[in-house]
Amino acid sequence: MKKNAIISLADSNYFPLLEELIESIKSFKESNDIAICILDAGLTKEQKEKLSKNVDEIKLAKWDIEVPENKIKGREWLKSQVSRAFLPNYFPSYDKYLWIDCDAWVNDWKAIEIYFKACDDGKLGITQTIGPGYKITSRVNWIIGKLAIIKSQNFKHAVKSNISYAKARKLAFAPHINIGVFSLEKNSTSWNSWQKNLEQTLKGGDIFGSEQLAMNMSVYIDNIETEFLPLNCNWITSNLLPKFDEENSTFVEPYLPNYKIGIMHLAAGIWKDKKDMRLNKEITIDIKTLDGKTISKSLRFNN
Amino acid sequence: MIKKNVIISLADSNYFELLNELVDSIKRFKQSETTAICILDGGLTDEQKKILASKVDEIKSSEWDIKISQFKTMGKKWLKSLITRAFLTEYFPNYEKYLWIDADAWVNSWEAIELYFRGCENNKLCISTNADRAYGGTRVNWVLGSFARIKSQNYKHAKASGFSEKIAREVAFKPHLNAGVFSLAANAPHWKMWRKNLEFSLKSGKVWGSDQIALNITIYHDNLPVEILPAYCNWTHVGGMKYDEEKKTFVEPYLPNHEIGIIHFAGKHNDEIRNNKNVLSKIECLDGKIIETKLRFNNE
Repeated sequence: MKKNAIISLADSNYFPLLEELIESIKSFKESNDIAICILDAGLTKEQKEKLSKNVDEIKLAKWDIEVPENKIKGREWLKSQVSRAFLPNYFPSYDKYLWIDCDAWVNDWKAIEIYFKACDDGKLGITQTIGPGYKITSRVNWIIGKLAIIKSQNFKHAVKSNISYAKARKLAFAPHINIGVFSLEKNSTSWNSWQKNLEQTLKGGDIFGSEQLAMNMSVYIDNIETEFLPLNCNWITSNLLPKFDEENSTFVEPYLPNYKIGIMHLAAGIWKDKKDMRLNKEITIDIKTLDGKTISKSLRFNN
Repeated sequence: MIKKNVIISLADSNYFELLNELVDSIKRFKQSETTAICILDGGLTDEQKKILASKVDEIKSSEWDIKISQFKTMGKKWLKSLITRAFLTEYFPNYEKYLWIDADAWVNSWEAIELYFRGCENNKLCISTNADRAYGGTRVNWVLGSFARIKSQNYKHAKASGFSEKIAREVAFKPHLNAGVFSLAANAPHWKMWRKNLEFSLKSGKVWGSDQIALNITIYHDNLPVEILPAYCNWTHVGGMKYDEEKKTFVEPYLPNHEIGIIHFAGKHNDEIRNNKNVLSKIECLDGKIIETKLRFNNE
């Protein structure tokens, strides 16, 4: 009986990425005790058949909160923005849930362990997009002197979603939380807070990013108990490129002590010649090694 | 034995106890035997210097390395520490790598010292930022709707030090580099640039904060190379630490609860601890228990 589950979601376009995520998980012996569950947001029959041999459960993602068709515009994958707030409804047999976006992969099992530990006692285990090497803590449009219009991701999104200014301001300079990797226990009250906020953000704004804004509201406005994990637990490559440790054949943080990347997340893509590495496995980019060399590498799993 | 690396600090007579604790916190590690400790005297008594002399390699009297009007210093000799740290190679020219640690900090784990000495290789400034999960965000005064007056530390200090609006805006949202702990190699280009920026800021603005903003501008405007260390290498969020009872050490508040490297009582909110060695602080243990303990280094 597996107590903990790692869950992801994909449509047919992201199937190769999802497969790589699963392979990356299964490359660790410790994964034998962890269930892998998949939400289907538009996979083909063949893809599901292939997946079913490698995972514990596959369920069809639904619109868990009703969203008008004019917002969906046929983009069924947007269900991922909603369904991840309802994981215990889909897969009720587990104690702890770890969501990993399908454009991420596991480089070090320690990150998985830390997420499952972080969510003990009802806490949310998650990573903020701040840490050594991040060059900018916020964005503004300067007007005159010290006066500026605040354009931080959380603030802009909150205002656009008709969240009150009082609440939006609480989010404005709080380090943005990326919802692509998080852990929660089945009975955590944080699910309720998140779902309530999600209902509000879906009503007021775009579907894309609504679940992220809702979670930021839960953490910074509702003050749900949160364990903030180190950056290497959700390393967003578009924010800061990792370095490569040739001796140990692994990706590491670019600054000392060069911690091993736990989960590599290609959120927002890595673009070269207008092509996204997420959709094109052949794309390589310049990566620095620990001894200062530059090598050409893909950031996808097993490349 | 010739010591290649040096740790340097400065104090006046008021901060002697803190400085003495810093020195003791360094010397309890066996690895410190190969590292020199040098002290800049910013107004110590003869007796205090005598106590220190038996523990450290060199003591030198700190000067006003950049001339400042008395009107700006108001007799506060300790303000020298803000200037002299940019001139360490002039005071103690015999070393290859320099690690400055403010007197109101102490070493909890030698790992941090090793990282600083490693981080300044290849002519990089090695320093830690407040861009960390345990620290808060930027400060602003909201005006109306999306409009706000920016009050970030870097912006305020850049303006107060007479730097242009363009530079102040450029550094406003960059993670603040705390100059209380940093390392640089003797030949790093930063010294020259930092002194130039410091001279400008001292001429145009206040002494307090001038060193720090000059250093931030050296990195963020002049683009000199930098190695950013984790926040635990210069931990100023003292109230946010946790205590690991099993290992008897202070650790980061969040998983994996890494041991704090250098504990730094920077900022007004730490006045009480700086001024009274015996003050008890409430601190959470890893198992959630709250205990009362002294946060100063215990050298008794």
